[in-house]
Amino acid sequence: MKKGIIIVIIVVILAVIIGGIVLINSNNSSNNADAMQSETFIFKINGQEVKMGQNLLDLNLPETSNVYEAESCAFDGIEKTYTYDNYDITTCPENGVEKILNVYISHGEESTPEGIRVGDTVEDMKQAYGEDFKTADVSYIYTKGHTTLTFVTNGDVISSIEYSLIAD
Amino acid sequence: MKKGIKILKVLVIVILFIMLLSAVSRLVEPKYATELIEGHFISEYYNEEKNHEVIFIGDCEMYSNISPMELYKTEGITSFVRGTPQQLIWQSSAILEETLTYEKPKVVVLSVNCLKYDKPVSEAYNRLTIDKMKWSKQKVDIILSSMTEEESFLSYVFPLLRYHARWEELTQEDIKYLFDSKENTYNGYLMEKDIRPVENLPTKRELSNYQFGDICYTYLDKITKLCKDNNIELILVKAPSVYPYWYEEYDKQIENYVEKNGIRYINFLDIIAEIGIDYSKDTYDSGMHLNLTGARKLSVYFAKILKNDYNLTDFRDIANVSAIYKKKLEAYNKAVLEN
Repeated sequence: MKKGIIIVIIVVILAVIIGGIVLINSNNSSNNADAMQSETFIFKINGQEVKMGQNLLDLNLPETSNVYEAESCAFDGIEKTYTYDNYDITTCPENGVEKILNVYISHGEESTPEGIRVGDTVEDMKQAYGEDFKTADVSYIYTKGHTTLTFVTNGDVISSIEYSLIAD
Repeated sequence: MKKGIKILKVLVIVILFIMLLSAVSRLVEPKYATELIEGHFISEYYNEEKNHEVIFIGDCEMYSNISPMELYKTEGITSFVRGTPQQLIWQSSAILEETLTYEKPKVVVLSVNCLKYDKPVSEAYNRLTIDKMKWSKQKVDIILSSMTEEESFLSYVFPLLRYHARWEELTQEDIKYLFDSKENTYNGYLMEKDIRPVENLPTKRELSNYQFGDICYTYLDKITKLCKDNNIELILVKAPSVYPYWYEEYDKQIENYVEKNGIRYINFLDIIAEIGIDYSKDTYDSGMHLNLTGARKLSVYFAKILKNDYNLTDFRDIANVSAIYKKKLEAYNKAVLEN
């Protein structure tokens, strides 16, 4: 009788430990998913909000014949970069959707919703986005939720702008 | 006596429980046999006869572009590509260290593409490199140095913690490869035969920072020292991939490094024409990686450099090795001919 009780206790303890760890793991996953939905930097194309991580196919974007496609090393499917006159959009496949990874703005015709464009000064950038940035070499990097907004500069002038989804 | 038997019984129950846990864990973890096959590359080395005079280490720029079978066919060189997707420099360092516990090659070739990354990229890439590694000090090192914030060491020890949700997605592959595995490379080379020419390339972006991270130099130093201590020639290479872009600023840093350390560096991007690569037909993904015809050209070109400059053995004349490679070549040549 005693033996049986000991065995049951051991099995229950092990099961509780394993179950507990699995549960913690599950909660972490759902917390991460919640975080993904939190505030992010938003770019606008033709009045449409473009959020990093969203499905590109939900947007009504202009046609472009310049689409660079390549097999993803780590995921099943094709990574794509859509090149437009003033910006590039890169996506990767995830759960059947084309998740937007980044938007790269290389020409002054396009501006951020806050009014900053290639050719503006670092001072203009600070007035629009504040001074809560990190610097890397010649870049200023702002972070919001799971996105970054990077301004690369040449001297005091912004030479490119990039919205990026921070990797999981 | 009775107490001893009781303890023994308890131990048996605990062992059975752990075995059951291991079996369930094995069932739910990815097999990397027919999907995400890159996750199995790391383990294909373990079953090998360890007679390689050249070891290639790095990311997809190694396992997609260099075919050891072509090195053997051309110059009788025995080699293996220990490549995994998005392999980071500290992973390359640990993989080299692990390799040296099995054998001592004459030459180690390291892809410099990894120097662009100074922190873990994603859990998905980590898993493809780490999951199928044999347990060793090096595996522990790789896990600890590669984990992203959301990952835990325990999830590598007990894959059930990470993959329990796959329970509902199990397929025939999970049953078929429960205690078996499927090799998808030829001495670490991933054969791709499709053709997708280079047409439109994306805009060449300005980067925030071109400087390789301190951690990259720390591990590059470690690799350099490891090779010097073991009397191994280290060659750094940049594969002839036209995208993602490789920057002048990167090249300058590598040239400075090799000059200081007396190492050879070959940037194959600079000699694409000399190698004979034609990007209208030698790539399967618009210039990111070479297809079979491209990999053959690069491998034959590199084989001559290795043979001429590094005093390597022609194993085609050595019976026990050529017997092994005869079988390997049969499988390789068959795959070459298959549609």
